Amino acid sequence: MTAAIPAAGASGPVLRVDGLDVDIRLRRSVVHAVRDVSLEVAAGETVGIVGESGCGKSTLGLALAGLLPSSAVTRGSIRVGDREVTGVGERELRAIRGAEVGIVFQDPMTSLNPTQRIGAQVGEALRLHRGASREAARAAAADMLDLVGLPRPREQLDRFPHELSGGMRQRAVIAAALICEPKVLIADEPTTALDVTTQAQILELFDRLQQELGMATLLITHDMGVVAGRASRVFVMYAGREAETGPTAEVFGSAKHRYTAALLDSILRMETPRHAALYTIPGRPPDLTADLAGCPFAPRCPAASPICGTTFPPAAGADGPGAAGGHWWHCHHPVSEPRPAPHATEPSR
Amino acid sequence: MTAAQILADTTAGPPTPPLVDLAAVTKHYRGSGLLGRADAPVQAVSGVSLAVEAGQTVGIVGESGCGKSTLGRLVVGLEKPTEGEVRLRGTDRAAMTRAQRRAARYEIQMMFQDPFAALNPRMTLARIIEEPLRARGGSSRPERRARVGQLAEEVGLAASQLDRYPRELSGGQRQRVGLARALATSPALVVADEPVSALDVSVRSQILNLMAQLQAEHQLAYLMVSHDLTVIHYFADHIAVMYLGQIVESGAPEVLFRSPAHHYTSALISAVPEPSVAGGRARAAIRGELPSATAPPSGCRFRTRCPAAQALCAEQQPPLRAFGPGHEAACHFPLIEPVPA
Repeated sequence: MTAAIPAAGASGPVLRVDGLDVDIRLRRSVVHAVRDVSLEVAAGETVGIVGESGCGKSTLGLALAGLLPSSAVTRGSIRVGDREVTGVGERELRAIRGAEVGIVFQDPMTSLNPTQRIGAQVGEALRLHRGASREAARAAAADMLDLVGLPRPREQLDRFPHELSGGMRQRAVIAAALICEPKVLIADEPTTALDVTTQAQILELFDRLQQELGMATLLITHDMGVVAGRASRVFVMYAGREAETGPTAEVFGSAKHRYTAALLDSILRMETPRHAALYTIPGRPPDLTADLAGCPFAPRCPAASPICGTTFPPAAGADGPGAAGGHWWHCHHPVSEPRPAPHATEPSR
Repeated sequence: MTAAQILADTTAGPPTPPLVDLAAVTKHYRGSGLLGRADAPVQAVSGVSLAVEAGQTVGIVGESGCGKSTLGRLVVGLEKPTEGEVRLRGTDRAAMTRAQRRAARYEIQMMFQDPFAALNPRMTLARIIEEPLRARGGSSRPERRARVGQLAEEVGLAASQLDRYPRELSGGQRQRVGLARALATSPALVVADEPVSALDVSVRSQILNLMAQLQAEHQLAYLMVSHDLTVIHYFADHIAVMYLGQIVESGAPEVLFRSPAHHYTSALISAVPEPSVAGGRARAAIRGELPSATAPPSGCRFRTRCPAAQALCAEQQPPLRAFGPGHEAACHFPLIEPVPA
């Protein structure tokens, strides 16, 4: 490790992304999956990346984890601690991954080797990155499994992934991701495949581990409910770009970007009147192989004007873009408060 | 629920039998261990009784492994009950003649989370939607083509899309095709297993709106199976909560979600993360894992995870008791007072 790990709660970004572009080359076209993304995550902080399928949020996660396919071209900078991650070779990348950046994906079975015992997999990073002995790694793995709430951790060490339930597997994946006490945790839809009761348990686990280990967490999800109350900041992505970012309560409470507002309005909530016609966003997300001029949400936006078709909206906000703790958005016609309540329509049945 | 419906629920014998009803249905799967060694059977569904009325939506909620998908398959007829009866308009499916059973098959159709997981990727959408009509027989090719065109229009697919293949479609479009296929034979009931779980929030609303519209137009009944409480709360007229193969509580959504009687229902509700400014922090009201369905706990099956469990819960299985009109729960120590027997 190149620098001392900041203590839990210490300020200063541990993860810093600057002007990141990711292009994925296909046979006859290029997908501009991530465009000019900048963000920071401090130690002990959770930042939520929110957006719908195809918005580039998972590609962003892969880029930060150093797991992009070879067909990807990146520009810009990703710094973990004071170390530049873009442009380094595969060997160095492997050293960073696992040791300084932990990764948890949606489906635990994609992260676990079905033929290897849980103990070996959870302890692997420790042997690889810290040169721990087999015995030491095994002991540490048992401690970690205990920390993530697996019952009878010593027994679990010798089990295979298929012998565990989905929730237990995800706990094992989290244990493997955190065993080297990484500075940064990238969690891409970590609870999407789980039942609500298990999801609640895993989210509580994240909260507790974050307090205990103080890592910077990037929580990537389509589920605004998972982000609310957990992330201090939220970053709304649309068509590979930043649409709006700010403190979670502000973004959810007074969304400025028309897309954020539309997304919030289309969420089904417990208080949504039963059988009321649901709000839907017309149209579909744009094709990311095309070179988009202007605001990518314009074709679906109720407030779009000619300028929206030609000029990507520069960041706007009271605090100024990039300000620590600030709230800014990329919209020519931001929502003016107060917004009408969603689902104002009468029941349709 | 209207006053008339509540009355119908409480009167002893409704004048007409429900569209579909399950009477004490049990489904056990024989466990087959290695080398033909017989293991304890998996008790996927145990003694479930449930009725679906024409034009109504019944929602089944529960965690994975609770038996809700097996229940759906029993209703469609993809599985036969080990015990009990699955009745269509009052007639037990097992007692039907071959011709009756064949007709019944087209009255109940199924819609899946991913409608294409089980389908031939080399079939065009037109062919996929047409398939149940071909299987049923008795229609000419031009008749079927005309019906496919009509179905496509109903679910909001462009005619030009019908020559396409499943891989070219977005998740929302796929679910539209799944709906068109399910509706091809003009069924009275569609069993929808997690119909919107794989969809983005904005697309989810489109599909739910479409399902509601089709229900109103065709007097369609749905049996909607989902782990997502917000979807079930929004869409269903009657909800049954399942835990380890049994219905532990059922009732109208307003009642069930406002004042649940069962601790499991209450735990499920509190675990839903709400995207609100105020909080959104889901509480893990219950701990631990779903016990094995091969050896469910004695007495109340939820007792091993229940915050209110006492000695009685291990000794006796709690009976379903009434907590109000159409509201039942099986709990020895419920959160609200039952209606005096």
